[in-house]
Amino acid sequence: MAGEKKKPKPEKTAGGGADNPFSEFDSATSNMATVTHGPYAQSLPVAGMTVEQVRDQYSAQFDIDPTSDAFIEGNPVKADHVIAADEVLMFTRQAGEKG
Amino acid sequence: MGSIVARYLAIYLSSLGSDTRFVLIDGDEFEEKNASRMFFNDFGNKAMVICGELDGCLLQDDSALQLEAIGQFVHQGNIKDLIHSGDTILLAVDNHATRKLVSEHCATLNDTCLISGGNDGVEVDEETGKQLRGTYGNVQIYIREKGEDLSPSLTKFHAEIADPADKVPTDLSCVEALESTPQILWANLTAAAAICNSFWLFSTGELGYSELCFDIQDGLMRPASIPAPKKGS
Repeated sequence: MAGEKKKPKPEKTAGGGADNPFSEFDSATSNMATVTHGPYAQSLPVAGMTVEQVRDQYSAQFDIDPTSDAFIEGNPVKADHVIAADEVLMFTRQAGEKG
Repeated sequence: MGSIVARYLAIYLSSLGSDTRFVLIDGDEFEEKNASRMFFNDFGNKAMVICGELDGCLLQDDSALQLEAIGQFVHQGNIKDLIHSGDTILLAVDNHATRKLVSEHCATLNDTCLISGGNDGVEVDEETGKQLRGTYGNVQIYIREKGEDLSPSLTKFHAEIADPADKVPTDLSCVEALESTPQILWANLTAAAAICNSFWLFSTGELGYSELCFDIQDGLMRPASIPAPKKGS
Protein backbone atom coordinates (compact mmCIF):
# COMPACT_ATOMS: atom_id res chain seq x y z
CA MET A 1 0.00 0.00 0.00
CA ALA A 2 1.32 3.43 -0.91
CA GLY A 3 2.92 5.26 1.98
CA GLU A 4 2.90 2.20 4.20
CA LYS A 5 6.15 1.74 6.05
CA LYS A 6 7.70 -1.66 5.63
CA LYS A 7 9.92 -3.25 8.22
CA PRO A 8 13.43 -3.41 6.72
CA LYS A 9 14.38 -6.88 5.66
CA PRO A 10 17.16 -8.15 7.92
CA GLU A 11 20.40 -9.48 6.52
CA LYS A 12 20.07 -13.18 5.85
CA THR A 13 21.46 -15.28 8.63
CA ALA A 14 21.81 -19.00 8.91
CA GLY A 15 20.30 -21.16 11.60
CA GLY A 16 17.62 -19.22 13.34
CA GLY A 17 14.53 -17.13 12.99
CA ALA A 18 11.15 -17.62 11.47
CA ASP A 19 12.45 -17.95 7.90
CA ASN A 20 14.54 -20.96 8.77
CA PRO A 21 12.76 -23.96 7.23
CA PHE A 22 14.16 -26.17 9.98
CA SER A 23 12.90 -23.97 12.79
CA GLU A 24 10.30 -25.86 14.77
CA PHE A 25 9.12 -22.74 16.49
CA ASP A 26 6.33 -20.38 15.59
CA SER A 27 7.43 -16.82 16.25
CA ALA A 28 4.15 -15.32 15.05
CA THR A 29 3.23 -14.39 18.59
CA SER A 30 4.25 -10.79 19.14
CA ASN A 31 6.38 -11.25 22.26
CA MET A 32 8.43 -14.10 20.81
CA ALA A 33 12.05 -13.88 19.68
CA THR A 34 14.69 -16.51 19.07
CA VAL A 35 17.60 -16.99 21.45
CA THR A 36 20.60 -18.98 20.22
CA HIS A 37 23.85 -20.13 21.74
CA GLY A 38 26.08 -22.56 19.87
CA PRO A 39 23.84 -25.35 18.57
CA TYR A 40 20.96 -24.38 20.86
CA ALA A 41 18.09 -22.24 19.56
CA GLN A 42 14.65 -21.64 20.96
CA SER A 43 11.78 -19.26 20.40
CA LEU A 44 11.03 -17.59 23.72
CA PRO A 45 8.74 -14.83 25.04
CA VAL A 46 11.60 -12.36 25.42
CA ALA A 47 10.53 -9.46 23.17
CA GLY A 48 10.56 -6.34 25.33
CA MET A 49 13.28 -7.70 27.60
CA THR A 50 16.85 -6.42 27.55
CA VAL A 51 19.78 -8.57 26.47
CA GLU A 52 20.97 -8.68 30.06
CA GLN A 53 17.59 -9.83 31.32
CA VAL A 54 17.54 -12.62 28.75
CA ARG A 55 21.07 -13.63 29.71
CA ASP A 56 20.18 -13.72 33.41
CA GLN A 57 16.98 -15.66 32.88
CA TYR A 58 18.27 -18.25 30.42
CA SER A 59 21.97 -18.58 31.22
CA ALA A 60 21.49 -21.90 32.99
CA GLN A 61 19.14 -23.37 30.38
CA PHE A 62 21.40 -22.44 27.48
CA ASP A 63 24.68 -22.71 29.37
CA ILE A 64 25.49 -19.13 28.34
CA ASP A 65 28.92 -17.85 29.25
CA PRO A 66 28.41 -14.66 31.33
CA THR A 67 31.19 -12.94 29.38
CA SER A 68 29.93 -13.89 25.94
CA ASP A 69 29.11 -11.20 23.39
CA ALA A 70 25.56 -10.72 22.11
CA PHE A 71 24.60 -10.15 18.47
CA ILE A 72 21.40 -9.57 16.54
CA GLU A 73 21.51 -10.18 12.79
CA GLY A 74 25.28 -10.17 12.97
CA ASN A 75 25.48 -6.80 14.75
CA PRO A 76 26.77 -6.45 18.31
CA VAL A 77 24.18 -5.35 20.87
CA LYS A 78 24.71 -3.98 24.35
CA ALA A 79 23.32 -5.35 27.58
CA ASP A 80 20.58 -2.71 27.72
CA HIS A 81 19.35 -3.35 24.17
CA VAL A 82 15.64 -4.19 24.15
CA ILE A 83 14.75 -7.26 22.09
CA ALA A 84 12.09 -6.79 19.42
CA ALA A 85 9.63 -9.46 18.33
CA ASP A 86 10.97 -11.97 15.80
CA GLU A 87 14.58 -10.93 16.32
CA VAL A 88 17.28 -13.57 16.64
CA LEU A 89 19.54 -12.90 19.62
CA MET A 90 22.78 -14.85 19.54
CA PHE A 91 25.11 -15.23 22.49
CA THR A 92 28.51 -16.26 21.18
CA ARG A 93 29.91 -19.62 22.10
CA GLN A 94 33.70 -20.04 22.23
CA ALA A 95 35.09 -21.94 19.25
CA GLY A 96 36.44 -25.43 19.78
CA GLU A 97 40.14 -25.07 20.34
CA LYS A 98 41.41 -28.60 19.80
CA GLY A 99 42.05 -30.23 16.48
CA MET B 1 41.42 -34.19 12.99
CA GLY B 2 43.75 -33.14 10.19
CA SER B 3 44.66 -36.73 9.37
CA ILE B 4 40.99 -37.68 9.01
CA VAL B 5 40.26 -34.68 6.80
CA ALA B 6 43.35 -35.34 4.68
CA ARG B 7 42.48 -38.96 3.98
CA TYR B 8 38.86 -38.37 3.01
CA LEU B 9 39.59 -35.23 1.08
CA ALA B 10 42.21 -37.12 -0.93
CA ILE B 11 39.60 -39.75 -1.86
CA TYR B 12 37.14 -37.04 -2.88
CA LEU B 13 39.59 -34.90 -4.82
CA SER B 14 41.05 -37.93 -6.57
CA SER B 15 37.58 -39.02 -7.64
CA LEU B 16 37.00 -35.69 -9.38
CA GLY B 17 39.76 -36.42 -11.86
CA SER B 18 40.64 -32.76 -12.29
CA ASP B 19 44.10 -31.29 -11.88
CA THR B 20 44.39 -30.39 -8.19
CA ARG B 21 47.35 -29.66 -5.98
CA PHE B 22 46.76 -30.95 -2.45
CA VAL B 23 49.33 -29.78 0.10
CA LEU B 24 49.52 -31.16 3.62
CA ILE B 25 51.21 -28.80 6.08
CA ASP B 26 52.08 -29.94 9.59
CA GLY B 27 55.16 -29.56 11.76
CA ASP B 28 53.98 -32.14 14.30
CA GLU B 29 55.11 -35.75 14.66
CA PHE B 30 53.14 -38.95 15.01
CA GLU B 31 53.98 -40.35 18.42
CA GLU B 32 52.82 -43.35 20.41
CA LYS B 33 50.42 -41.24 22.50
CA ASN B 34 48.53 -40.27 19.30
CA ALA B 35 47.40 -43.85 18.77
CA SER B 36 44.34 -43.38 21.01
CA ARG B 37 42.83 -40.92 18.49
CA MET B 38 44.61 -41.47 15.18
CA PHE B 39 45.76 -44.30 13.01
CA PHE B 40 49.06 -44.14 11.23
CA ASN B 41 51.50 -46.65 9.80
CA ASP B 42 54.73 -44.98 10.79
CA PHE B 43 56.21 -42.55 13.27
CA GLY B 44 57.55 -39.25 12.01
CA ASN B 45 56.25 -36.00 10.61
CA LYS B 46 52.48 -36.17 10.21
CA ALA B 47 52.30 -34.46 6.82
CA MET B 48 55.07 -36.69 5.42
CA VAL B 49 53.63 -39.93 6.85
CA ILE B 50 50.09 -39.27 5.59
CA CYS B 51 51.34 -38.08 2.22
CA GLY B 52 53.35 -41.29 1.83
CA GLU B 53 50.39 -43.38 2.88
CA LEU B 54 48.03 -41.68 0.43
CA ASP B 55 50.54 -41.80 -2.37
CA GLY B 56 50.96 -45.53 -1.91
CA CYS B 57 47.39 -46.59 -1.23
CA LEU B 58 44.88 -44.23 -2.68
CA LEU B 59 46.20 -42.65 -5.80
CA GLN B 60 46.22 -44.23 -9.21
CA ASP B 61 49.26 -43.72 -11.40
CA ASP B 62 47.17 -41.57 -13.72
CA SER B 63 45.59 -39.54 -10.91
CA ALA B 64 45.32 -35.83 -11.57
CA LEU B 65 45.75 -35.18 -7.85
CA GLN B 66 49.18 -33.85 -7.02
CA LEU B 67 50.16 -34.51 -3.41
CA GLU B 68 52.77 -32.59 -1.50
CA ALA B 69 53.87 -32.55 2.15
CA ILE B 70 55.42 -29.64 4.01
CA GLY B 71 56.75 -30.58 7.43
CA GLN B 72 56.41 -27.16 9.04
CA PHE B 73 54.08 -25.42 11.44
CA VAL B 74 52.50 -22.31 9.98
CA HIS B 75 53.93 -19.20 11.62
CA GLN B 76 54.37 -15.51 10.97
CA GLY B 77 57.63 -16.10 9.15
CA ASN B 78 56.42 -18.64 6.56
CA ILE B 79 52.70 -17.99 6.07
CA LYS B 80 53.16 -15.80 2.99
CA ASP B 81 55.09 -18.62 1.33
CA LEU B 82 52.52 -21.26 2.25
CA ILE B 83 49.10 -19.67 1.62
CA HIS B 84 48.31 -17.71 -1.55
CA SER B 85 45.35 -16.05 -3.20
CA GLY B 86 43.23 -18.69 -4.91
CA ASP B 87 43.93 -21.34 -2.28
CA THR B 88 41.28 -23.19 -0.31
CA ILE B 89 42.58 -23.83 3.20
CA LEU B 90 41.26 -26.51 5.53
CA LEU B 91 42.56 -25.63 8.98
CA ALA B 92 42.57 -28.34 11.62
CA VAL B 93 44.86 -26.94 14.28
CA ASP B 94 44.75 -27.16 18.06
CA ASN B 95 45.22 -23.50 18.96
CA HIS B 96 43.44 -20.22 18.40
CA ALA B 97 46.70 -18.32 17.81
CA THR B 98 47.21 -20.15 14.51
CA ARG B 99 43.54 -19.62 13.59
CA LYS B 100 44.01 -15.89 14.08
CA LEU B 101 47.25 -15.86 12.11
CA VAL B 102 45.75 -17.68 9.14
CA SER B 103 42.50 -15.69 9.20
CA GLU B 104 44.35 -12.39 9.25
CA HIS B 105 46.60 -13.54 6.43
CA CYS B 106 43.60 -14.62 4.36
CA ALA B 107 42.11 -11.15 4.90
CA THR B 108 45.02 -9.79 2.84
CA LEU B 109 44.32 -12.12 -0.10
CA ASN B 110 41.90 -11.39 -2.92
CA ASP B 111 40.34 -14.80 -3.37
CA THR B 112 40.36 -17.53 -0.77
CA CYS B 113 38.24 -19.90 1.28
CA LEU B 114 39.35 -20.77 4.80
CA ILE B 115 37.51 -23.60 6.55
CA SER B 116 38.56 -23.99 10.18
CA GLY B 117 37.28 -26.58 12.64
CA GLY B 118 37.83 -27.44 16.27
CA ASN B 119 36.34 -29.22 19.23
CA ASP B 120 36.50 -28.74 22.96
CA GLY B 121 38.94 -30.72 25.05
CA VAL B 122 37.79 -32.39 28.25
CA GLU B 123 39.10 -29.76 30.61
CA VAL B 124 38.26 -26.82 32.83
CA ASP B 125 38.08 -23.60 30.83
CA GLU B 126 40.74 -21.37 32.39
CA GLU B 127 38.84 -18.18 31.63
CA THR B 128 35.38 -19.13 32.89
CA GLY B 129 36.21 -21.97 35.29
CA LYS B 130 33.61 -24.07 33.51
CA GLN B 131 34.11 -27.79 33.02
CA LEU B 132 34.02 -28.55 29.29
CA ARG B 133 32.53 -31.92 28.37
CA GLY B 134 34.54 -32.17 25.17
CA THR B 135 31.40 -32.86 23.15
CA TYR B 136 31.11 -29.43 21.50
CA GLY B 137 32.74 -28.33 18.28
CA ASN B 138 32.34 -25.91 15.41
CA VAL B 139 33.45 -25.11 11.90
CA GLN B 140 33.89 -21.59 10.51
CA ILE B 141 34.06 -20.70 6.82
CA TYR B 142 35.74 -17.44 5.82
CA ILE B 143 35.35 -16.67 2.12
CA ARG B 144 36.88 -13.80 0.19
CA GLU B 145 36.30 -12.99 -3.46
CA LYS B 146 37.82 -10.13 -5.44
CA GLY B 147 39.17 -8.62 -2.25
CA GLU B 148 35.81 -8.61 -0.48
CA ASP B 149 34.66 -10.65 2.50
CA LEU B 150 31.72 -12.86 1.54
CA SER B 151 31.51 -14.27 5.07
CA PRO B 152 32.86 -13.25 8.49
CA SER B 153 36.51 -13.80 9.34
CA LEU B 154 37.36 -16.30 12.08
CA THR B 155 37.83 -13.46 14.56
CA LYS B 156 34.71 -11.39 13.90
CA PHE B 157 32.37 -13.29 16.23
CA HIS B 158 35.07 -14.97 18.31
CA ALA B 159 36.93 -12.78 20.77
CA GLU B 160 38.84 -15.83 22.01
CA ILE B 161 40.40 -16.14 18.53
CA ALA B 162 40.89 -12.40 18.06
CA ASP B 163 42.77 -12.29 21.37
CA PRO B 164 44.04 -15.84 21.84
CA ALA B 165 45.23 -17.07 25.21
CA ASP B 166 47.34 -19.78 23.58
CA LYS B 167 50.37 -19.69 21.29
CA VAL B 168 51.36 -20.98 17.87
CA PRO B 169 53.33 -24.23 18.23
CA THR B 170 56.63 -22.60 17.29
CA ASP B 171 56.30 -20.24 20.26
CA LEU B 172 55.71 -22.99 22.82
CA SER B 173 58.34 -24.02 25.32
CA CYS B 174 59.35 -27.68 25.42
CA VAL B 175 57.23 -28.19 28.56
CA GLU B 176 54.20 -26.48 27.01
CA ALA B 177 54.58 -28.53 23.84
CA LEU B 178 54.41 -31.76 25.84
CA GLU B 179 51.15 -30.80 27.56
CA SER B 180 48.07 -32.31 26.00
CA THR B 181 44.38 -32.18 26.82
CA PRO B 182 42.17 -35.26 26.51
CA GLN B 183 39.75 -35.15 23.60
CA ILE B 184 36.77 -37.27 22.69
CA LEU B 185 37.49 -39.12 19.48
CA TRP B 186 33.90 -38.81 18.29
CA ALA B 187 33.81 -35.03 18.73
CA ASN B 188 37.06 -34.89 16.77
CA LEU B 189 35.57 -37.10 14.07
CA THR B 190 32.42 -34.97 13.89
CA ALA B 191 34.47 -31.78 13.50
CA ALA B 192 36.46 -33.45 10.71
CA ALA B 193 33.24 -34.50 8.97
CA ALA B 194 31.86 -30.97 9.35
CA ILE B 195 34.99 -29.55 7.71
CA CYS B 196 34.64 -31.99 4.80
CA ASN B 197 30.90 -31.24 4.46
CA SER B 198 31.62 -27.52 4.38
CA PHE B 199 34.34 -27.98 1.78
CA TRP B 200 32.02 -30.03 -0.43
CA LEU B 201 29.20 -27.47 -0.11
CA PHE B 202 31.56 -24.60 -0.84
CA SER B 203 33.06 -26.32 -3.86
CA THR B 204 29.60 -27.03 -5.28
CA GLY B 205 28.36 -23.49 -4.63
CA GLU B 206 25.76 -24.63 -2.11
CA LEU B 207 27.24 -23.46 1.18
CA GLY B 208 24.50 -21.75 3.17
CA TYR B 209 26.19 -21.05 6.48
CA SER B 210 29.29 -19.27 7.76
CA GLU B 211 29.61 -21.27 10.97
CA LEU B 212 28.30 -24.63 12.03
CA CYS B 213 28.06 -25.69 15.70
CA PHE B 214 27.48 -29.14 17.14
CA ASP B 215 27.30 -31.00 20.41
CA ILE B 216 27.42 -34.77 20.11
CA GLN B 217 26.02 -35.32 23.62
CA ASP B 218 22.91 -33.28 22.86
CA GLY B 219 22.62 -34.68 19.35
CA LEU B 220 22.60 -31.22 17.82
CA MET B 221 24.26 -29.65 14.80
CA ARG B 222 23.06 -26.32 13.39
CA PRO B 223 24.39 -23.16 11.76
CA ALA B 224 25.28 -20.27 14.04
CA SER B 225 22.99 -17.24 13.73
CA ILE B 226 25.48 -15.08 11.91
CA PRO B 227 25.28 -13.77 8.34
CA ALA B 228 25.35 -16.53 5.75
CA PRO B 229 27.94 -16.20 2.96
CA LYS B 230 27.05 -13.65 0.31
CA LYS B 231 26.72 -15.04 -3.16
CA GLY B 232 29.90 -14.63 -5.15
CA SER B 233 30.19 -14.26 -8.88
